[in-house]
Amino acid sequence: MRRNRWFFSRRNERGSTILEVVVALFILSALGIGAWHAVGVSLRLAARLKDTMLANTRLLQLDDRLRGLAGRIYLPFWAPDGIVQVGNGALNVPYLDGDPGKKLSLTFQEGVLSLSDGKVTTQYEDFQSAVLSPATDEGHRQYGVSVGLEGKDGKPVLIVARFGATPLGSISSR
Amino acid sequence: MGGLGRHDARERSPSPRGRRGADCGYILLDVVVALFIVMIGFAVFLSGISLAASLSVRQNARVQSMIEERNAHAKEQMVLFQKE
Repeated sequence: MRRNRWFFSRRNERGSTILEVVVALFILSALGIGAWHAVGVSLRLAARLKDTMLANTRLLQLDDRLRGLAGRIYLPFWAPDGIVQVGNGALNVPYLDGDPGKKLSLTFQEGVLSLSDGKVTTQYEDFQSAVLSPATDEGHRQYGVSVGLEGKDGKPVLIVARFGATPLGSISSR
Repeated sequence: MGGLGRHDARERSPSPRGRRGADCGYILLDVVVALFIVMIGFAVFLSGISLAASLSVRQNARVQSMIEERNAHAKEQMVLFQKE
């Protein structure tokens, strides 16, 4: 009878036995651990979603900026065909705003892609790799710049931005 | 949670056992209501996360398609320019 008193409350006694309290605590603990884990997973997911949304927004800003700068390149008819200079993780194109002294510069170093028109430099972070190259048509004529990017999530993105004008020499040579 | 009507039930109960039963019932009701409110909050939180996830996926696809569209447009404009 004494043993039963420890584990089962009698009808006329007030309060709970140790077993009831232990079982209640166990159930509450299990629920609490589950809720804690779910909240942790949800918060991690929310942080990742925020990162993804920010990366997408940055990518669109980069796209706008690159197309805007490339559109300001006006090549004169005497400009040579291979006008885009690529090397050492950098890409340079002269004749920004039609001026041979001004150039569009793209550099990629340590995950940061920098775009510059000589006055304003804009940096875009969080890229694993970037391939900078001239955009060419089937006849290997350069009509713009091509930037192949790989984000932190490993998803590749290719941005092809054309110049504001194509060398007339390219047209006449066709 | 004060327990709605707990004192009324206690006063109306004819016997001590009945009174205690009424107390237990209302306390249980309080616990169930509290758990229900917590579950609703948790469901709202999870549905918010789910909505954000679906928005993120849609935004991702939209950004990709926009960039591809602009790339195609750039090439198309170049071709048109050279044809003239």
